[in-house]
Amino acid sequence: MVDEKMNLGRVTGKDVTEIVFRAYRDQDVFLGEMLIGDCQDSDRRFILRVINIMHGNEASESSWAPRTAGAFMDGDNKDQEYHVYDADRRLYNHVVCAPLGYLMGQGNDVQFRSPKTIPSHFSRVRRASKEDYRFLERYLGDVKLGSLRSGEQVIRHVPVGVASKDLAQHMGVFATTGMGKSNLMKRLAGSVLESGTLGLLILDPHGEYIDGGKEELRGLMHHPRAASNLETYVTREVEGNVSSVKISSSEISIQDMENLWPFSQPQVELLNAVWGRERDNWLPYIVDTEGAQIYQDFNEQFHEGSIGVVKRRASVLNRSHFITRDTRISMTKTIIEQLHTGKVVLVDLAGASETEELLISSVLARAIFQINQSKFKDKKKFKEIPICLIALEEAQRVFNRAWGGIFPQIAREGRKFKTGLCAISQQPKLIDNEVISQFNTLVILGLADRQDRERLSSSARQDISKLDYEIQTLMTGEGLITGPNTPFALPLKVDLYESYLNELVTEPKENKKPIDSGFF
Amino acid sequence: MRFLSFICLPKVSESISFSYLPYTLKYAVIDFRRMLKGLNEKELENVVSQMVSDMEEPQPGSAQEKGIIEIKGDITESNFQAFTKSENAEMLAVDGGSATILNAGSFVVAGVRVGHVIFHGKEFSGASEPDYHLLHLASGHLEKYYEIFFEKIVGGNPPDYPKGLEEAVGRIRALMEWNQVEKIQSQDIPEGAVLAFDGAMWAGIKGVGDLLERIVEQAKQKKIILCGISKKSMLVHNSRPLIPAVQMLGDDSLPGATWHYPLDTGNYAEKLFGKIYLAKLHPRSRYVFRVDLSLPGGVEPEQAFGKLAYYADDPTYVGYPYPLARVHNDVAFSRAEVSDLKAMLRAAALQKGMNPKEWQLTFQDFHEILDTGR
Repeated sequence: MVDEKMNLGRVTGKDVTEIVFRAYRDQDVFLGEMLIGDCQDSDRRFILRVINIMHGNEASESSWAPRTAGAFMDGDNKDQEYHVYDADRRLYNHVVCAPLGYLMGQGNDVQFRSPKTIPSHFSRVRRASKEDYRFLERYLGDVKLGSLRSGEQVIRHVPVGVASKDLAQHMGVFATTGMGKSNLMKRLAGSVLESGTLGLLILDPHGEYIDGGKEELRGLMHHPRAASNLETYVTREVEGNVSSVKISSSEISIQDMENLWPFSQPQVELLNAVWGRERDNWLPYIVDTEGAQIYQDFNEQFHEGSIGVVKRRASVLNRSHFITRDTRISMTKTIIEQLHTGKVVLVDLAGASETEELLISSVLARAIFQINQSKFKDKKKFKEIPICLIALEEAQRVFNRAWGGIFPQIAREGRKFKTGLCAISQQPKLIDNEVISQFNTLVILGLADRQDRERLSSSARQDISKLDYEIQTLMTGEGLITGPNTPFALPLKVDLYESYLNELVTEPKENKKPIDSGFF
Repeated sequence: MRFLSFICLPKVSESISFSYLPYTLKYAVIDFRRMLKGLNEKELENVVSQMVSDMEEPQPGSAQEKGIIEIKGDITESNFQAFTKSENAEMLAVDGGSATILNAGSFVVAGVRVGHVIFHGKEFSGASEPDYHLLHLASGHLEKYYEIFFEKIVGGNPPDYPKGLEEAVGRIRALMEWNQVEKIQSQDIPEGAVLAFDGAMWAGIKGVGDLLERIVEQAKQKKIILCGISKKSMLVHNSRPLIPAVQMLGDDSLPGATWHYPLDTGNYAEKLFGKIYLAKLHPRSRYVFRVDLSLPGGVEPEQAFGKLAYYADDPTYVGYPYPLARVHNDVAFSRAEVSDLKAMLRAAALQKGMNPKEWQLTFQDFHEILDTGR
């Protein structure tokens, strides 16, 4: 006996890239929903993701539907009612699905295979059951972000996240404004605060992570593990157990300057020459030394104009409250130590200018990369440190080119040295293709811009080309995860951070009951 | 002249751009061009002229073929009766379908099936297993075959026999339809329900008068409205098709209304077992149907038509009661089904030892080859 609520229809045809089935007219099917096609001739259970839904009818003439609609319209105008008899028999929906793969076997022996064949003719299509989702357990990732989503339905008993071991291979979080990037990052940080499996550095230019930024929202400081596992550095007045952002001028490199402003070739040569001569004192030297003296110090090799430009820009950094000439005062070393003990380090840069923010971010990222790189030489020490993930907002600012700057370098080389990037952007189309191809885990929330979607589609680990319309129609908090360890692009509903905190505080984990227990 | 302007034939030599024509017009034009190719235009004009002159100058008694009923009296506005749609109804509908599965010239294998559906209110509430026969009809044993059906359904020996294979299939199907109507009547049917079938209450087959009389009487006893609706009518008035003339007058005199028009059929009492009407069952319908009614005592025609109209509001079949459309589609043979039956018969015949080549040569039809190139 077929469960009517689960039974949706029968396969009508198509190929290995698309399966079409006829669905009952009165059964709701949603874009992105994951369904099961039970092959009639084998024990294969095909996992099908809905990518389009169309009207269908049994009429032999293609003009039937418009003619019938015309009759209804005519009736509307003439106050005549019409009634479509046997509507459930004559009308139906065509549901187009992308086959994600198929399952073989049952229980713990179930195996997932990529879709290299098709279900037999007229195979029954039904909603997925709890048992069908069981195979996903091995792919769902230890850094939990939310729950599996099937269309509009949230499958609460199937948690979805990212695998911490994959994060040295970098992660991208992409979404249009308002689609839930900040909530996602808070949720990710929450998982790390709970587990300590990663060192997570969050560079927050907007100051929205520490306390949520709005009265009704919660921040990382509200997390029950914040006291022990969260370290916060701020560039503004913030209440609580926080430290001030300070970096030493000696930590600033010529490369950092190049990240902040465009320099001509002679200007770069001047900077490098100063660095070669002054080393860690290069910045105070440029700021404090008269232009004419610099001209003389370098044997009149550099034009006075070049010296003027370099001095003027160096002075901007020198005026920053967050940069000190005292080489003993710096947060960098402490932050790295904290990351190496699996803590979440939040650097709130809301009080800094954009130039300062980028500079501080670059200095910290380079320091982490270099320290991890140096530890790599000692296998024992290297094994002890966790992967350090650097979360960077508005990532398109530093990833618009594949070369130059510490961030592109980490994107290329970081995986080897346990240094991962979490690039957050609402405009992936502005990120260089080569850089984006280095992001092995993508979390895609709603993206309205076609070019943004195309850029990601060409770089994702799984084929998401057929999910274009689904990505367009994602609601706030809904997303897709693709990664080296996911069998297909996993649909996700990100936990609302505030709800997650409530659950964490009120319910002991072992007693937690799924919200939808008993649904199936 | 209205007819001529409607046909509006293009000349063969005329160059027509199709791309921007409306869908229906485009197809009409394409069809005409194809049909005209190789046809003498003069001959075509003669046919059209003859049709038009027949319409304008009718010749009484020129079409006394079997089944054609000549309606007496004048068509007058005062005979139109408006009626209103019922609020609710119950209908049982019967129809049959047939198809030639194999044709060897000297014999045919035909499929015939008859079924019925039941509607309560607007909802389908059930259907019968169709009465389904696969017939092997050959000139040599046609009579024997027909006798079996006649004896079983009507009783006794038939007074005459079908003259050809096609007529035999038609007669057997008609007998099966009547048989189905009679069977349904023996079931528990609520009073006031409509039992509708496709066709007329007309004893078109010799010897079925008793059967029809039985059916009509039983319907009256059970207070069932018995009703035949003809998709194609052979009613004529002064040798001209009757329905267009009545419909044009009805549309003018009762615009936007549902109406019926009772007909005076004169001396057909031996063959006719109900009263004949023409009826427009939906105000927006383009079709008027012949409706043969047999009403139980105390039921007025307006009530019966109201119930038919209740079911005539499907936007696809505007003006035709949906249960009849449904049963028609249920019992009809699709091309795919005919093809499947053909394959099934072939497999069974070969299993019984028939030579495949003999099968091929017996049933091959070059039309099938010709059709593939169309």
